[in-house]
Amino acid sequence: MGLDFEATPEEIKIFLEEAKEQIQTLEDGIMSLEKEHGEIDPESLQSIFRAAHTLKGSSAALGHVNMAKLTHEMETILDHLRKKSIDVTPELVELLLDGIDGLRIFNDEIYQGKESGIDVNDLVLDLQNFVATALDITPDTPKKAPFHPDQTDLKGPLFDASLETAALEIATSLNQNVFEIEVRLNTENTLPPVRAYQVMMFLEDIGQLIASEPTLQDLEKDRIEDTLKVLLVTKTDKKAVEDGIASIPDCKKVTLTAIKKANKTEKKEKIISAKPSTDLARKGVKAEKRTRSSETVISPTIRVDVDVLDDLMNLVGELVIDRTRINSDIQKLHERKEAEEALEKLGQTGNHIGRVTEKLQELIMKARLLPLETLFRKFPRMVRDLALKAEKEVQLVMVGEDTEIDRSVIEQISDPLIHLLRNAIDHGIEKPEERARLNKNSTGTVCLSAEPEENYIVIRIKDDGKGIDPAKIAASAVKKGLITPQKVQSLSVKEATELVFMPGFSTAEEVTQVSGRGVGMDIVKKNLENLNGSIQVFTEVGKGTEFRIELPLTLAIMRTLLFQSTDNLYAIPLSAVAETNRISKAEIKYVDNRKAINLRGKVLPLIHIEELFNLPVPQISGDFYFVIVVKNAKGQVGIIVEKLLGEEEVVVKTLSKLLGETRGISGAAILGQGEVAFILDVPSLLAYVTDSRLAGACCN
Amino acid sequence: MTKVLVVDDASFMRMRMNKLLTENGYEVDEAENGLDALDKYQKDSYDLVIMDITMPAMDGIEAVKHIKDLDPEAKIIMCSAIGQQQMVIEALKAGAKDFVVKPFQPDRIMESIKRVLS
Repeated sequence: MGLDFEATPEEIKIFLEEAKEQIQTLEDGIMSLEKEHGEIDPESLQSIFRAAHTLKGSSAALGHVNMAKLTHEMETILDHLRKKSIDVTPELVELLLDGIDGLRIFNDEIYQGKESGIDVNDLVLDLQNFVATALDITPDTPKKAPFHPDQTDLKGPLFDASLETAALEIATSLNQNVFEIEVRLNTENTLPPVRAYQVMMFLEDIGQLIASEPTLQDLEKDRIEDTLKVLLVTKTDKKAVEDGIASIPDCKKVTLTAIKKANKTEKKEKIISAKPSTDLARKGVKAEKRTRSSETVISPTIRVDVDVLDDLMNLVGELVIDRTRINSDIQKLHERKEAEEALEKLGQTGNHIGRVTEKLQELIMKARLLPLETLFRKFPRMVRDLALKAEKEVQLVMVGEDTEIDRSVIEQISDPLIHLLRNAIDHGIEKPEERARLNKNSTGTVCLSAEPEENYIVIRIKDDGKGIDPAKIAASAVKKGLITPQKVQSLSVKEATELVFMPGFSTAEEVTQVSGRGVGMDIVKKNLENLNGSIQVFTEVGKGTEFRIELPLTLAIMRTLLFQSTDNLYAIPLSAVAETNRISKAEIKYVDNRKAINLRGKVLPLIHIEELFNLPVPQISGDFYFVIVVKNAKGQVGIIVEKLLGEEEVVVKTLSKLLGETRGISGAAILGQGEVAFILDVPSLLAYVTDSRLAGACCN
Repeated sequence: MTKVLVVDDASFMRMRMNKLLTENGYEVDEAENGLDALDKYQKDSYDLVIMDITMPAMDGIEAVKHIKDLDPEAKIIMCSAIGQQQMVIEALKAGAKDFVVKPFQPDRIMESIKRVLS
């Protein structure tokens, strides 16, 4: 079912962004409550409470009833925690975390514009019951007998006769009037005690309150149903009192009875004023409101520092000035006036544009950077849940969350990191009793760290678990038919360990709930390589395992090696290039009809770039080939190209999906003169080479 | 033109209120918590303040007290959630004029504004 909200897409976008932050604050807070057994400082507790409160208000305003309901219950509990009227128990933490999960689902519903079909009522009931049990009241207990005054018929005096007499005495001495006032309050969508309080404040302003039911003190303790009665002595006339009260919203019905000395009970006058319902008017407004179509797509947003935006604007301003200068110089050139000077100025403007665009590039990159914290912060909860399921005690240590990396990288490393964390908990860390037997701390530690290193960010996932046994890995790979027993013998310890990255490999004897999700380490490796990153594994049996991931700072701009072949331009990421070489045609040998050379004692398979794309191979004149040696974990391959053009920093453009299968090409780059170069996707190219053409030859 | 300061920590709520008031011909400024509101109120004068209660840095009640110290004539409407009656009463005691309840109903807000400004 579609969800329609009375909000513009822009408003929804802001709502989602804020809600996401508030949910995170809630989750972090609840987890620290769990860790500290409820002993967290009042300021932190207050901020958790505030997050729930604000989210409740916003979701109700947006019209997401379920989200408002859920946050209301969570807020109630947090309020009790704040007032220390209930304690933090494991059950409560579970309930609140379930609430967080629910909120995330609802946020997603709003994002998708579709209902998920999740029923929130059970959880709401559980939360209510928890509070009721904790406070030792059953929710079924009827509330204190409501205060029910005689409603329309004034069968008798509202107040005790002695009070009326006292009021009359005061009124007479001051030559003023006495009124018995009864106000019926609207109780929907308002705060009846506050309205009553406002009425009392108004009456106090114009006279003396002799008595009231409920009293001011009652109001401050929320003791009111829907009726307020006041005995008032005032010099103001009846009409003015009545109008004054009626101007306060939510006063549905105001009944004023003037009390006279002689015949105080018989001659009561009734003045009843009712306000027109505003419901109809409201409905009209509602119908006119724009509703958001459920198909509207909300694009992801990023918060950018205003300073960065200002700087960007300044730089763009400079570019606009440059454009004007260029136009005027071109004009001069056209008119052959002051041509020399115009040319010189054009040169200067060109230099200036160069400097400005460099700064622009730097700033935009900065704007695209996000701290890894945005990704890391969901891990503590995940590790907690996984450890609980696996019956293990795991402590997650995170270092360097403030390291910044391009947002598109962050999005794409989420799954690989989750997989590695799952593995660490499921396969790495031992159960507490086993750890105790091994003289290890019964709580295992998983350390997730990030730090910049030159143009790379290095992320490490390290556990102090049982490590990976290369012999066991090798045996398993043989058993699964991934590698021949002969070949296994020749593998080094490191190579054997790296078999975990082979497609179809998994050491778990049985697929567990935690790790067995059909994603293998090979996928993790492939995903990281797609980002021009890499992964390595270091392990020691009995001590633990470390995965070391290297990632480029950004995907948007790439340093490449440009080359040309058969009139096509190609760019190859520098990170994948081992070296370039000029090879004499005479050195080429043929292995299974394939070209290869002996490069410093190793066989290097060679392939024409055209062969990789099934294009006709050009005749290259001269005695030499230019060869680009590309590397990956499996080995090296030399790509024969017509002409090397040099290094260039290019802006990566993704290719349209309309182009269909573009294996071997990850994108395109537009060069200085408007030419288009294909950016080669080295891992998939090499896979192609090793799979279909040079199997075995490149892996020795 | 009547100038209104909308104080709320949720920019979503500020945006809604801002839109409603602008559509009804008011000039709107926004503040994101009590402290920010106080700061703006010191620098500029407003005919009306619409004030959320639960906010970081300085809550709405504290802000009402300070603004009233600064300008005893200040007209303030509190934005309250169901359940915050005690806080609203406290704010009224401190000098706030009225309140509206979240989720907002545009006609009720306009009704309250007219009442407070009259």
